[in-house]
Amino acid sequence: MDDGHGDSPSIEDTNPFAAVAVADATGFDSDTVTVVTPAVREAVGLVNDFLNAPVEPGRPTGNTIAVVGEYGTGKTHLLGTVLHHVRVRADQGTTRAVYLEAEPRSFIELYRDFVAELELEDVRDRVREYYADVVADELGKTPFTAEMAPLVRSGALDPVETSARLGLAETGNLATLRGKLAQVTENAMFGTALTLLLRPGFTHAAWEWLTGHAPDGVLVDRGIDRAIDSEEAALEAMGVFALLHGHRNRRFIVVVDELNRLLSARRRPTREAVAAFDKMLRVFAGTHALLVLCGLPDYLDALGDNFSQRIGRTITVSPLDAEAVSELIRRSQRRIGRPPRLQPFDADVVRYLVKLTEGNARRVVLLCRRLYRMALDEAPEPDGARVTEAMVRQVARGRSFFETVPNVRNEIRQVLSASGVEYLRDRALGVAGARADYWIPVAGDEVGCAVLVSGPVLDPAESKELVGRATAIQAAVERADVLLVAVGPVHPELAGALTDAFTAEPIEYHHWTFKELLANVLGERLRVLQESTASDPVSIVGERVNRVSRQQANTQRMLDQLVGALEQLTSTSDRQFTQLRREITGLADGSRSVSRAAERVGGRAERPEPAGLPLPVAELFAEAQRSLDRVDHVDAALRAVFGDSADDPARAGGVRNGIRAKLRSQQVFHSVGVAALLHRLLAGFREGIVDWYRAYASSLSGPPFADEHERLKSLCRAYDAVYEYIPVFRLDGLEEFASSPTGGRSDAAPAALDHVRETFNELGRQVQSTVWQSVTGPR
Amino acid sequence: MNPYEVPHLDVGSGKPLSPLKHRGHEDYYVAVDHSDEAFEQFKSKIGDASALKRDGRLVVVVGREHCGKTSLLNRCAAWVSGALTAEGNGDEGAGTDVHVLNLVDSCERNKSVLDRQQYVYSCVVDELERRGQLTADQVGELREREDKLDRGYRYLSLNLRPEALVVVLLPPTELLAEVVEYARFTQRRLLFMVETAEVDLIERKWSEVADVSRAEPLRLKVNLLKEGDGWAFIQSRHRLHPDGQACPKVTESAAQKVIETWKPSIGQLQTLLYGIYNEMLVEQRAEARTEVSFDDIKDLFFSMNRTGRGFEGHG
Repeated sequence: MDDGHGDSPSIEDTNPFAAVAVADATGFDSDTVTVVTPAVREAVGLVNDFLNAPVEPGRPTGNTIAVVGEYGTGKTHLLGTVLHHVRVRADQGTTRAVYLEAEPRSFIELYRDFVAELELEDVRDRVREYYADVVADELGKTPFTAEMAPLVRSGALDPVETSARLGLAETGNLATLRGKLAQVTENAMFGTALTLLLRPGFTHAAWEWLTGHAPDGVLVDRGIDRAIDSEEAALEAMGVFALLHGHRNRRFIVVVDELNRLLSARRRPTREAVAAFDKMLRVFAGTHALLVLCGLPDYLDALGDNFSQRIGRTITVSPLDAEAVSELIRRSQRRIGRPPRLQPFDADVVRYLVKLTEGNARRVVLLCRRLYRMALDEAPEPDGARVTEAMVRQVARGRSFFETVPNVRNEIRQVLSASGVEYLRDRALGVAGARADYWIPVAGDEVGCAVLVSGPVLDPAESKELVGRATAIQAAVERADVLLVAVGPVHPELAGALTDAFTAEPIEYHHWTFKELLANVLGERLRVLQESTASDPVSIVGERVNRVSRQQANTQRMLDQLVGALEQLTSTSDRQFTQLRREITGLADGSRSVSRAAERVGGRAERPEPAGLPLPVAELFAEAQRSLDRVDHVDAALRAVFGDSADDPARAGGVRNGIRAKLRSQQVFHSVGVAALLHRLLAGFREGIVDWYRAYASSLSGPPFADEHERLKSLCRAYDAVYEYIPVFRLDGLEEFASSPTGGRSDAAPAALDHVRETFNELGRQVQSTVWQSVTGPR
Repeated sequence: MNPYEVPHLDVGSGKPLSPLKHRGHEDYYVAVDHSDEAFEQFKSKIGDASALKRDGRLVVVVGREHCGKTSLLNRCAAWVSGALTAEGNGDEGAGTDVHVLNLVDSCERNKSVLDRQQYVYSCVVDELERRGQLTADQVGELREREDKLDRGYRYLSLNLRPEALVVVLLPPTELLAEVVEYARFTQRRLLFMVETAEVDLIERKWSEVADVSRAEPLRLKVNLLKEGDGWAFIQSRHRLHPDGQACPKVTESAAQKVIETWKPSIGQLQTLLYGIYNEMLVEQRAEARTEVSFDDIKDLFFSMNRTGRGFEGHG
């Protein structure tokens, strides 16, 4: 019997916490769970000040806000909240907000993303406003036409059409506009290009240049002789658009996230770029534009002291405290229609969670999600579910939660190779029990630096073991500095003991900073060790010469790897091209079949159904399929049993024996089962989305309805709910097949498995946003 | 009938007078906005055909939109064509074979200067070939010089018949560089005529044009209407259309006030008056009044603006 709630997920099915704790700043809506932390409150307050300030000529309201915080503290979430606030509170007719996510490339790319967000029509309308002032001024000069001036200035009459209709001096007026824009932007080329946007026949050439391309011949003839292809030009151009959009009673907001990818200690900008950045801030301050810059604290240092003086306010996003996490849990429950309560958590567990994660919002959300599921699984009844501290430790240790140790080892190797030091893996030193995961000798085995790699350190036993290892190493050799790399959290109460036993504080792995941090710490320790041991200057020089030689050798190896990577890239591109072609062929075949079907029913297709998915959506599914195929070689192995080797009895026997040997391991069955489930889940999800499109296409044309959005969200939630219960880590066993001589590529390495995990983890969210974007347009 | 109509011309679209195509248009030129002075200046400077054949010439007409630049160009070209061909001018001028090539509308402004110039060049070569002024070999030679236009025009100049004079009415330009280039291309037997609304630019940089010219380039200027021009124009039109006497006439004071309070160009005034009379004739209000006042004009001006009748076209 239908209880009227057929589409509502049951309590067991729906996890109130997000599967991917990485905020999508532009996707915030009233449904998004937000905790009003002091940082959020301050940011919203500043934005309100900006929105509420009266806009008057000659009284700029521009400002720059810097938002800084460590990884996972919720910076992007804060930006999402701010942007949502602007959408809800500001007059959309006069306020324009742009969100940009910096990529680790250059300001040129950032500018291109920026201008693509603005769109031609939008920019042209702003130029038209300037031109309206010029034409209105012209009309106001003579009593005969003065009455029309206010109509043009207010936008009731279009200035371009009016100018043509009244036979005004267009050339003179456009020259005035050009001069005005050149004065405003302090750049004659922008004055010319923006003016040309209003002239039929020139618009596209001008827009092409503004979007970063080389100038067309007609622009070169008019003095625009170079592209916006330097960091300085790109930053200047962003200022130009701020001026354009901050004109009259308009307000302009630009939010740049992840700025540390562009600016950091490792990516210091040129002096010219810093000067251009500084100018851009002045430009924003001089108009009605708000610039919000967000990232790790690094970027502030990279920009220098001048920058700090120019920003209106720096907001530091602090870790969540227990109260904020409790609020987060309650709001998450309420979002899906449950009472806003802590259960299955309690206040003690929340405090423990905060301590363990140091209030890192991303980790809190990820842990909450897994803990919630675990508590429900282990409780006889949903209402009896309880999260315990033991569960918190167990989840935190899970390999899918933090980066894997093998991946981190790989990064350590890269750091050691790049720094040119000689090192030994898994080195036994002196007495039994003294083992270094990496040993970098400074004077043979007697003096050197040891690196130990551990998982999360959450209880005293784990800490004790590591302290024991460090102590043993120090006892075994004449002098050793010992560093600890922890892949996962270190319980704050255990950190002190570890710092005492090791030479420095434990280095907690963070994807973006790890290599730089390790290189710095290691370099410093080696320098100290060398200075303390080298009594003979000649031997110091000798060692440094050797190190330079090793660095050169490593550089050569890296070049070789780069060549290999490029070849692999080519092959990947070929595969993707083949895939795209297959998709397109599929679409064409589908269209043909629809036409044929239409012919069968009388030559008229009243309601053509979509034969496939839009390419961006199809590509998400294809990528998920490819990632799975890269680790799942079972089919290939089984085909080999019945394949070519059947003609060669000896080889066929070898293949059969190989397969039999693998099937003796019970783990293989788990792995194959998990892979099969993932294949089917993916196919089912894809079919669901195809059906969604079919239903959408057969409804009225135009923007989708709210219930279609709900249906889409429900589909994606369903995927997440099922995927969550699939033990993906069990895919490990597929490595057995990959290592077979008939198993094809040996990609079932941890990196490939991690890729499967990441791809499937994010699939629900990505499909939801990509599908929605495909039916609502890019904005 | 609307007294502001011009035969063979859609006045409402702002198209210029062209005695080259319609000899009767010669009567419609009125001595306003300095255009007569400019025309006289042209005649006195260009009147010597021997000089044209010896050195060639560049003529640049400057003035803001709708001041009659194209009309002046057409009038000058028609005069060259008629006067030099029919009457000659001294020994050298007698028997001049004038070829006027009107390329004013031949290409858009949103092409690069080089593209526009190459297009004009190819049109000139094609048209002269069509008129039998060039042999096939000469056309081949000229085609090979399409990417070296100065050499191309030089070759053309050297290979035109001694009695030939080619007058090229160029597309309007807004770029000084294009004007300077045509000053460089000027050769004997070639008269280039071009118009531009970039008044200040050309005046400021005129020396750049003069510096590269073989013969002194000629700059003609047209301007907004001055006091008395409005009334002169109105009287002239009513004289040309005696059948329009039945229509009410714009009073002299109204005409003066329009000039004073608006300072229009000849194109703006002509289109305005044409539109007003059309409006009155359509609504059959013409018989109901004997004269058109300033207020009538102003009211109808706004009415026209709302209904979108305009003043578009060349100046």
